[in-house]
Amino acid sequence: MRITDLVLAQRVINSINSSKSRLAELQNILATTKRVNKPSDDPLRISHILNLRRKIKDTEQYLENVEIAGTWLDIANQVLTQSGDVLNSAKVVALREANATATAESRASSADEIRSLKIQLRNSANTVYAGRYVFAGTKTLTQPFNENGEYQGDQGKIELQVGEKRIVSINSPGDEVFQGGEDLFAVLSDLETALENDDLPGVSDKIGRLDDCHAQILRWQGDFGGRSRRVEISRNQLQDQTVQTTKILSSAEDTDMVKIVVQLQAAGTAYQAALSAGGQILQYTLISFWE
Amino acid sequence: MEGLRSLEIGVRAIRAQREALHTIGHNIANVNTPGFSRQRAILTTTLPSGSMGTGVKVQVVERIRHEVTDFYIRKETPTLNQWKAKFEVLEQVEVLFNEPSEAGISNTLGEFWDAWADLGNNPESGAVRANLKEQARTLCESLSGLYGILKDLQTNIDQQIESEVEFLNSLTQQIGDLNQQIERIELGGRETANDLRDSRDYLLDGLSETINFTYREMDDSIIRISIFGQLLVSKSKIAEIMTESGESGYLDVRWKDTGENVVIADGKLKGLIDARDQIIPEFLDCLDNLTSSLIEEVNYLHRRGMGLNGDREIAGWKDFTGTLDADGSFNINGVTISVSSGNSLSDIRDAINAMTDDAGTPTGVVASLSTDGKRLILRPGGTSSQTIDITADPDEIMLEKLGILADFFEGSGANDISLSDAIINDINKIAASQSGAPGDNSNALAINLLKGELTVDEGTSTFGDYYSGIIGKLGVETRQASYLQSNKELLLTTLKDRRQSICGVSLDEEMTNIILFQQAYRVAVAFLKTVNDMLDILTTSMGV
Repeated sequence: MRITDLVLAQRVINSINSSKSRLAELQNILATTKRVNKPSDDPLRISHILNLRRKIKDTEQYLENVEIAGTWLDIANQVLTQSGDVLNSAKVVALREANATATAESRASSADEIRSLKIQLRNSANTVYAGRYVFAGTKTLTQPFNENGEYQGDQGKIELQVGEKRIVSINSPGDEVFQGGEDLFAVLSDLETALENDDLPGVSDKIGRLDDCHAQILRWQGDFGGRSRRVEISRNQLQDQTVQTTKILSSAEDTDMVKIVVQLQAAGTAYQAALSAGGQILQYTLISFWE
Repeated sequence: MEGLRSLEIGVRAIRAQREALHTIGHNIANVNTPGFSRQRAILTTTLPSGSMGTGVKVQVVERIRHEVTDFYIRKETPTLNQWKAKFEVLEQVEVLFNEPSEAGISNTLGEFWDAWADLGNNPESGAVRANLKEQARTLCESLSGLYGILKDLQTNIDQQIESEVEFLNSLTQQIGDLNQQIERIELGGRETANDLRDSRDYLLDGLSETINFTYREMDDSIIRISIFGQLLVSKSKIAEIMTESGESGYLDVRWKDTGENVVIADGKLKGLIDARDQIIPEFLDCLDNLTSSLIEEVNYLHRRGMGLNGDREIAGWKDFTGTLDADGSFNINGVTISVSSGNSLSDIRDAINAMTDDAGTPTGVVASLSTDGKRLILRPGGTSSQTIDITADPDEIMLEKLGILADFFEGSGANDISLSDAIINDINKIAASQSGAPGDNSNALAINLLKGELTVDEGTSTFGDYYSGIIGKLGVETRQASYLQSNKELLLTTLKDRRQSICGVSLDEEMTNIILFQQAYRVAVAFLKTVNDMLDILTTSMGV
């Protein structure tokens, strides 16, 4: 083939350009550590990559939701445990005062004890977490139980998404917990009144109701505990998922650094070769050997 | 006389070698001139007298050219340039979509849903509401921004088409001029207009970048060019092409004399037109689909929710469909509008717009119908301090029927999506609840759950999947354009190398030829001197 000077020059330019653009491409991959930096880098996988990234983001959000749901349920459980303790103390008082050896004086002072237990119970039921009343239904800014033990909240449920297809309710209305079946405040008030009035049968009668109250609280503890476990299971699954998805995403979009560095060195060598070949070839024509 | 004939031969030899050297000089001078093809002085013997030769002359200076290669180059160049133009546009679109990155819509959309989830976790919190507002704004700006830039790109391509057509006209004009000059020079068949032909060939190459055409050289050296049978350049005229606003609002490429559309099947023009009319609209439509579904779905749920304070001003209103079917009346700013069962929504609108207070001054409320005609929209008109105070009668049923909107988004598509003014002005109007209780997060949860629902594209895809699909499509199209472009580029490089190897100037070759002709020149001079000496001897010995 007849090779002309323009062809030679063009080929030198082409080979320098192509090795340079290969260098730039590898440099970009190295700088971002990603194999896929724009959709056309890997059109078959780009949707997959975006979906995986979204999934990781969603999972992170679910984990955040799990945190909040877990905290709410834990707090509810603590409140229920405290309530159980209050009921136990009340029962101890009632048993003591139901004894025929107890006097009217001791019953009157026990009435004070029950009154303070009642306040303790109300304070527990009015627990606030992060500025929100836990047992007020969705009226979270309203104190659920007033001085008379009347419920001020609503029946609203607060639900959070703790997984792709998993929604958990993080609260239960205070009136159902503390006043559904037995009204804990009323029982304590009744006990208080019976003690004040030195009404022995009245006091004995309350012991059975206190047991009912306690059973009710235990039921709710079971309920909240069950939800806590579901949330916990979700947390474990989500954490596993994050690890898995991150791994898959990494294999889809991350680059093998060692490979790229080696390729970069090869490309650098190719570039140098193109330059030196160009420099040598273009230097000479017949005129160099004239005379 | 014998001696004089030899002298003549010597002179002719010197002249011929000099002319050949001149041609070599011309070649060397134009070694870097684009479109130049090397020339060669063809030497031939002069007319002999009997069996005796009479010397040499330059018969013709010939241009080395390979028409078949030219033809193939001009056949492939339009396709290369079509894909080149498309690839350039797609590359820009890729940059604009900016995926995968934190700034892309995929991530912004994710942040938007997360902000709703956060609101669900904490519906009472002002900070969380403010964050949702900002995320929603960012999303609106991303969507409408991208849509706007794609539109700008479309307009930009439209302008490129206009200048490409102007360029095409200037090329055909120049080809026409060259046609005439070449015809004049070559008339009679004695001379070839080598350099002018080079220029004309170069222009034809240029023209083949813009558009595909067929061409033929006629007997009178004229090159005739046509596009699908329509003459573009002929002996007598140049058919001009123009751009004119078409029905789409963009420029159509038409023949100036007939006003008919030019059939464009290939070339840069085809690439630009396809990019403007197909590639960009495709992505605009996808973006619009996504956005309008987003507006529709989020608003649908948002209208059914309530703000933080159980705000009746904005929340709890339903879509209105059809005419009112119950008698009743309602009250706006103290003025009662009565409604009867036969009233349509537009009757009510007119009634509201016409109402005045007791003193006869307008109430300052402006009513309008939504674009789908199904909803009544009330806005305070005039000064911003005016408020709309609506009470429905009886029991707020009227409000439901009126469907006064508690929209989250305003606008109908990617071009005009924005956050509703009501929410920009008061974040407590974001409807997280359905009951109005501050801790009720049911509506925020419902809206957050939209992200996993099949809502887009007639309920076949989630927002995220649909968007990933757009990006996948963009990747495939860009890759394909890049592939086709580099394929054609490879082919054309080969073809152009072949042409260069035939018509290009090789300095080494010219150098060799210089030596060849210089030697011949030198010996011819020696020959002349010898003849001269011989004549000298003759005249001296004859004692002249």
